[in-house]
Amino acid sequence: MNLDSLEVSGNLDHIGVLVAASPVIVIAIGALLMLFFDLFVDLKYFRSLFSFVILSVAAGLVIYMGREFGFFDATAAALPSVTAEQRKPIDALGILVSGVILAIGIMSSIVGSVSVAKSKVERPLEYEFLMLMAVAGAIGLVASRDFLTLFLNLELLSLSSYCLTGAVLRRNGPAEAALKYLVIGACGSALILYGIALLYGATGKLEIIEIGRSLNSLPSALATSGLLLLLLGMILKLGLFPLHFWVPDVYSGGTRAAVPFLSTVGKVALVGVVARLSVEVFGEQIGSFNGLIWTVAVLSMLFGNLTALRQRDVRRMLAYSSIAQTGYIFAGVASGQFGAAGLSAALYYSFVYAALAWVAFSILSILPEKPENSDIALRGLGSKAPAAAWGLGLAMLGLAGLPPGIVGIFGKVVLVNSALSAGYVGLVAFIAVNSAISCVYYLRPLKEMFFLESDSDKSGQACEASCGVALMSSVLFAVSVVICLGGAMFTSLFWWTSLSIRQMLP
Amino acid sequence: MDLAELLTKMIWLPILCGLIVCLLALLRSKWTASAGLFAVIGEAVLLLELLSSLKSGGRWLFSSSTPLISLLGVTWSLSLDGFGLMMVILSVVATSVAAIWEVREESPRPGVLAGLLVSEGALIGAILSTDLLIFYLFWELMLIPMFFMIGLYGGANRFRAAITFVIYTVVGSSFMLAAIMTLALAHGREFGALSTSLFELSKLTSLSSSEQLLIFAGLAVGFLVKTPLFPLHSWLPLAYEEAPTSGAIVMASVMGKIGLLGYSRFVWGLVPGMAGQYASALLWCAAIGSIYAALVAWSERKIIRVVAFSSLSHVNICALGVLASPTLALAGSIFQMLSHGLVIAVALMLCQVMKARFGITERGQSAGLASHVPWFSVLFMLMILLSVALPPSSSFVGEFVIFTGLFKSFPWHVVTVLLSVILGAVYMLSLGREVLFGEPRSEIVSRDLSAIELLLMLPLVLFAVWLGVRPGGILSLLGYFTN
Repeated sequence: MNLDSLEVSGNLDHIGVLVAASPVIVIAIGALLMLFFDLFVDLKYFRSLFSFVILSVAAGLVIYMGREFGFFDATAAALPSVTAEQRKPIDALGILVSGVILAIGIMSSIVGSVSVAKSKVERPLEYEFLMLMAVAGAIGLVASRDFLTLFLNLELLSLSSYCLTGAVLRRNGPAEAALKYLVIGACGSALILYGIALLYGATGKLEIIEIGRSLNSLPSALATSGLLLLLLGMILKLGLFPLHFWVPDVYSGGTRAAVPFLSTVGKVALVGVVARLSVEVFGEQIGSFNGLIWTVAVLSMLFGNLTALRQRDVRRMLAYSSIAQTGYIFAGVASGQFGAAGLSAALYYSFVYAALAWVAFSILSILPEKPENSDIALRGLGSKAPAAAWGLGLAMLGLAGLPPGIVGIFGKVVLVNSALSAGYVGLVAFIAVNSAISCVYYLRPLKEMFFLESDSDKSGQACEASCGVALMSSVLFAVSVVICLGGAMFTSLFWWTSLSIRQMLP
Repeated sequence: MDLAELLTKMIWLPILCGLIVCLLALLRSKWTASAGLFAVIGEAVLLLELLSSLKSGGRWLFSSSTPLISLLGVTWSLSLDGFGLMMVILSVVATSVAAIWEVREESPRPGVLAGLLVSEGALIGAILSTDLLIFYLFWELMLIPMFFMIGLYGGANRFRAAITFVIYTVVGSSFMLAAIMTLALAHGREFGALSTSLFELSKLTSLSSSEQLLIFAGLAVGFLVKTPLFPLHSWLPLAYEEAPTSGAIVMASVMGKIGLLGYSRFVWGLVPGMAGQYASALLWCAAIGSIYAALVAWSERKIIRVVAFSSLSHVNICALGVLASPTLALAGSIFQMLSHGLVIAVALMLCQVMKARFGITERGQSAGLASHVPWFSVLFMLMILLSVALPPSSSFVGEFVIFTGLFKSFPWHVVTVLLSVILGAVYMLSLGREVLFGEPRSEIVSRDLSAIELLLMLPLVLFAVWLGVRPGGILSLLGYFTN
C-alpha cells in the first residue's frame, strides 16, 4: 500500500488515513486492553460492558465519518463524487456497512451481558475478545481499498470466526463444526489468495481500483483466472450452493452464543466486498461471469429451500434456509450487471437478513434443548415463554416475507425490482416460487410453538425459572418488533445503500 | 372529520384493537371479550358515520392520495366506489356477527376475537386501497389471523388446513408482486418515476403485449386463488372444516370476494385487453367449477363440506359476472356476492349449532329435527331456499341479472352454469330433507336456538329476502356506480 498515492482534497481533508482506520484501531487496542485488565478485575459484567463501550466508541467514529460524507444530509442528492485520483481513504460503502456491523456487534454485547447473569447460555472466556476481533476484521474488510489489506482483514475475521465456533468444548458439536469451518474456510482463503496473486501477476498492482482500470484496458487469461478464483473463494466464504458444506454444521453445531454473530456479521461484510469487487474490479468483465453468478444463485435458492423443508430441528432448518437467503442476495448481484439497482438490492437484503437472522438465532440460543438430541424444544412455547415465542415468530415471518415482518417484504420487493429492471423474468419467477416454498418451513416453528402443547413440563419450568432468560427474551422480542415494523425505515436505509453503490460507479 | 381520516381510522382501529385484545389475553385479563366487542361496535359506528357522509358523483365516491415511499412511488391511496362500499358494509356486518357469535359462548376464545379484528382491518384496507403495493401488504396481512385461528382452534387436521391456505395464497401473491413491480418499472420507463398507484398506472400506454400477458397472469393468479376459481380451490374445503365458525364466517363472506374486487378493479383497470382475451377461458373455468363443486357437494357426507362446496359453487357463479366485462353482469355479481355473504354466514352458524348442540355432523345422523326444534328448522329451511335461489330471494335476483347480462356474449357458458343451479337445488333440498324431516330420534338433546342466535341469524335472512323482493334500489346504485 503506497501512502503517497492517496490524495485527499475538498472538505474531507481531515479524514486522513488515521481517522479512516480509527474504528479498527480502537477496537483492536480495546480488545487487547480488555484481555489485560481481565486478569485483575473480577466484575461479572466487566467484559460485556467493556466491549459495549469499545464498540460504541467505534460506532461514534463511524457516525462522525458518515456525517462528513453527507449521509444524514437530507438534501444531498449525491455524495461528493470522487475521481480515482482523489480517492479518500474510506468511502461510503465502507462507512455504511461498518455502521451495520457495529450495530450488530453492539446488540450482541448487550444480549451477552444480560445472559451472563444466569449461565444457561455457554459463554466462553474468550467470547468478547474474539467477537471484537471479528468485528475489527469485518470493518477493515469492507473498507479495504487494496487486496493486501483485504486479505489480512479477511483472515482476521475468519480466524476469529473459527475460534468462536469451537470456543466451548463441552459437547461434541462445536469441535466438529470448528474443524470443518477451519478446513473449508482455509480453502476459501487459499482460493482468494491465489486469485489475488494471479491478478497481481497480470497487472502488477495491488490496489483494487488500479487493478480494475488495468483490466478494463487489456483483460488476459491470467487475469480472468484470477477473477474466477476470487469469485469462487467468495462463494465459499458466503456459503452458497456448491461450496456450502460448512454452513449447516457451524450454524447448528457451533457455540450457541456466537452463532447469531457468526451468521450475520461475516455475511454482511462479504456482501459489501462482493459489491465493491463487482464494481471496481470486475467492471465490464462481470458479463462473462454473470452466468456463473446466476446459476449459483438459483441453485442455492433451490437447494437451500428444498433441504430446509426436510429438517426437523429449527436450527438446522435456519442454517439451510440461510443458504437460500444468500442465494437471493446473490441473485441481486447477478442483476447488478445492469445497474446499481441490483447491488443495492443485494446489500439491502443482506442487512434485512442479518437483522432477522440475528434475532432468530439469539432467541434460539436461550431456549432449552431436548436432552436426547440437543434439538430445540419448541413445543408449546407460546404459552410457556410468550415473549421468546412471539419474537421468534416475528423473525420467521419476516424471513418468509409475510406481514407483520414488513422489513422482509420490502427486501423482497427491492430484489424483484432489480431483477425485473435487469430483464431477468425467469429469476423473478424463481424468487417468487422459492418464497412460497420457504413459507412452509418458516411457519412450522410457529405451529410447534403455538398450536401444539408441550409433552413434558420439566423444560418449561427451567425456562420460566431463570429470570435472566425471561428478561432477555423480552428484550429480544422488543428488538424483533422494532426490526420487523422498522420496514418503515426502508427509505433512509435503502437510500444510503444505493447512494454508496452509485458512488463507486465511474 | 374528513373522509380520508375516517377511512384511515376504519382500517387501523380494528388492527390496533386486535393487538390490544392479544395483549389482554396474554395478561389473562377478564376484559378481553368486552374489549373485543367494544372494538367491533366502534367499527360499526365508524361505518355509520361513513354512510352518512357520502355523496354520490360518478364512479368513485371518494378518492385521496398521499405519497408514502417516494423511492418506489408508493402512495397511501384510499378510494371508495360502489363495489368497495358494498364490500366494506359486508365486512363490518360479517365481523360484527362473527364477534357476537363468538362472545355468546361462556368462554369466548381471545385468539378468535383478536384474529377477527385484525382481519377486519386488513380486509377494509385491501378494499379501500388503490395503491398496488399497499393492497399487496393488506392482502398478505389477511392471511396471518386466519392462519392462527385455524391452527389454534381447529380440529385434528388443522395444521394442514392452515398451511395449505397460506401456501396457496402466497404462491399467488408472489406472482402478483412480480406483476406489480413490472407495472411500476414500466411506469418508470415511460414517465421517469416509479409508481404503484392505480390511477397513475392506468395512464400507461407503452406496455408490450408480452409484458401485458405477464402482468395479467401474475395479477389473475393472485386474485383467483383467493376467490377461489375452479382449479385453484383445494384449500377451501379444508379451511372451512377446520376454522372456528367465526373465522369461517369472515373467510367465506368476505375474503373470497376481495379477490373478485381486486380482479375487477386492477385487472380490468390495467390490462383490459388481456382480460378480454382470456375472459372466455376463465369463464369456462368458473362454469365448470360451479358444476364440479355442485357434484362434489351432492356426494359429500359431512355437512360442513357440503356447505363448503356449495359456497364454492356460488362464488364461481359470482365470478362469472366479474370475469366478463358487461356492466349489467357485474352489477348482478356484486349483488350476488352480498347475498352469498349473508346466506353463508347463516349456514355456517347453523352448522355449528348442529354440531355442538345436536351432535350432527354427517348426513346419515339426521333426526327429524323439525319436530324438535322449530326455530332452527325454519331458519335452516330458509337458508336452503335462499341458497337454492328460489324467486323471492336475493340470490335469485343476483343470478338472474348475471345470466341475463352474460347471455348475449357468452351463451354457452350460461347454459352450462344453469346445470349447476339445478344441481344446487337437488343437493340442498335433499340435505334439508335428511336433516329436518325423518324419524324423530328421542335421544337428541333438543335445545332450540337462543334469543341471541335468533337475533343474529334472522335479520340476515330477512334482509336477504327483502333484497330479493325489492332489489331495485341497490341494483340501480350498483349499476350507476360500476359504470
